[in-house]
Amino acid sequence: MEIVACLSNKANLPRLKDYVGGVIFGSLFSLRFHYSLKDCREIVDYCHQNDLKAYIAVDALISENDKTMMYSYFEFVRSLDVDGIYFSDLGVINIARGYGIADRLIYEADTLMTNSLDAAFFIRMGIDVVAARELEIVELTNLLKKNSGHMDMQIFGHFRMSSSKRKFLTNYQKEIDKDFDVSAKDLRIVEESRYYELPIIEDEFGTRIYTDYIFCAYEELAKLRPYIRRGIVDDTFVNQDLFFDFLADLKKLDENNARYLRNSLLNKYSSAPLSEGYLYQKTVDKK
Amino acid sequence: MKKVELLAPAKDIAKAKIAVLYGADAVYVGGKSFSLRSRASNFDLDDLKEITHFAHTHGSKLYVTVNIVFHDEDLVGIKEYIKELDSFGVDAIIVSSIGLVQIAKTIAPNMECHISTQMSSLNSDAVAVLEGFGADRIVLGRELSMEEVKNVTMKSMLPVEVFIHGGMCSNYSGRCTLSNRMTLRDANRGGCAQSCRWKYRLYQGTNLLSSDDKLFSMSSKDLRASAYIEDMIRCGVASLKIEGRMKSEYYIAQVVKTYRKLIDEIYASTVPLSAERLAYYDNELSKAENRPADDGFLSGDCDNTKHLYGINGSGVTHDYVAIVRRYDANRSLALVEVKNKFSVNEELEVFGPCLDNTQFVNRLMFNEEWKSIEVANKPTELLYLRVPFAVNKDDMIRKVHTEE
Repeated sequence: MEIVACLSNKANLPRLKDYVGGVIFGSLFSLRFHYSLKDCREIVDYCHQNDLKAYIAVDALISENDKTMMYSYFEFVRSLDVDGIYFSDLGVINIARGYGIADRLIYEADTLMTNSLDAAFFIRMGIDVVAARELEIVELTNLLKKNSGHMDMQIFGHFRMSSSKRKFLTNYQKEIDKDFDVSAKDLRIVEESRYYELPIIEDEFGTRIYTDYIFCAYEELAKLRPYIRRGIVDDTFVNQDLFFDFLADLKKLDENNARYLRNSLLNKYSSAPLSEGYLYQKTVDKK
Repeated sequence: MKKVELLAPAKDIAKAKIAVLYGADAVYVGGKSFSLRSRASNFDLDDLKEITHFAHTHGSKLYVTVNIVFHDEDLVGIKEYIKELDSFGVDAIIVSSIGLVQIAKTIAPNMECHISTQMSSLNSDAVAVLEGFGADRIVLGRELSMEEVKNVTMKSMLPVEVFIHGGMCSNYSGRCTLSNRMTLRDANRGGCAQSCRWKYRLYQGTNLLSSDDKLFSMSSKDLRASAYIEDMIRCGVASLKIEGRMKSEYYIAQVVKTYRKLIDEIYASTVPLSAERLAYYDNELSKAENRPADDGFLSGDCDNTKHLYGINGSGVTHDYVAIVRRYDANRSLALVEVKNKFSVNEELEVFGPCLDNTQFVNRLMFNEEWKSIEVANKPTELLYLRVPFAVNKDDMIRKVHTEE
């Protein structure tokens, strides 16, 4: 398993290179990152000079009117010589083919990659896929084993729960006529009868909502890592000390020390909302 | 030019028949398995066979949703199910899995595969890729402007289907797991709890930003695209889709009939639809709406006026009071089944597949023992009403609201 970090801060690169095999960054059409084109080049150069892989996220869904800009952007993406392109919109396959870089595609379909039929279909096309986050441990294990070496999964961080083209925060601000920064990164929503604090982000692509918890599984990861192509770690909304402690643990993680390492992290960051996500929490088609 | 298809939803056989009778060119339904809206999916295999036959004998098509986001455990029995649907003559399945398209094309090559809106197809490149994957039709995501719908449709080789009416996901369909987290009900396997319609407090750090008398919500107004039907027809959209597999027979009848008339008027006319005619159709549609509606992204952005704050779910209309089961023309007596409360001396309106809105005052009402009654307030009770004009089985009766 190659550890791939979402590069929330370019300044983290020198520190990250000791822990990860690659980074994910992005500029236009990215739901995670908004680096300048100049920054993107510098990131790729730094990665390749330091034996890191550089992956670009082009993971926004693309409306028809944005396609012209997308085609121009792919000229730039091709020129970057990245090692992989995370995408979410199937139209990207067509665009990448046009630029001769379809062999670098990695399909990050959020919720949709939940079964071996779909995974196998894309893998046969030469496209690696990212497993959905809503899988419980047995089905995740089976899915990864069946497609061993071709599936990525998010192994640390808050999960993205929803994505909308609507600008919910701007709209709400207008509705209640109150001044606040809709682009702030520390906004949370809490349902009126529940306690989950859900991070919420708005930008030009719309609004995304994330889980209240930080996915962090040690023992399971120790067992699954031989089958995972890339393990994605995302430090968005996460305390940096916690994040780098987790990365340090990953370097020495095995099935024998997994429980000890996890308990140590839990003790050190007892107030952090660490969770095993859906691994032991099956979501069903309850009515 | 091939006439655009009007595609209606149905929760059960009775509603599917209503959709066909009131003018739908095609109906989409869900089976007991493999379908979203699991609460709406009341069709077992016998039902699916029956409704496919009914639709075909009335010149309509029948599509079956097989659109859950499959986990491996859900795939058990899927091949047999698809074979059964094909043997009934089902015209298409609506899917959100490319892997499933491959299976369906292998075992039922003549049955079409329509790509669900769950796959958020928003551009002509995505349509082209899906065509290469074996899809026969694409249901576009609901995030496109009319200009974008036109551009995608005109650039695409595959037929394009567009939602024109009904409830809207406020997040990209198929990519939302709010319900999973809040209730452990899988939004993408038929269990969506509509957590987007709930109310939330908004914080920055510990600072409360939201107003307690109007909490934050993602709830969307419903879609009503009546003003765009003419544009959609002219740019070559293949199918106009009504949302609402949970909706009542009254909703299905009123919305299908209104769009049927609107589409037919557009085709029959050589001039664009007038503002007065559009206002008439909007008024007709409003009779069945139980949430405020607007045109969604079709006119561009979705600002705060297109959201619902302070309203969690849908209201229930009680204007629909009865459905005609039989009519005795000699005695001008209609046998009706009561749906909601109504009284003698109220002004009522009848509409049906072959009857435009026609009003009468409910002067006389009897129960099945021929006892005169003043108030009908027992749902499913059969009553006789004096109706001074011919009505037919499956015509519907509603109250008339007069402005005071």
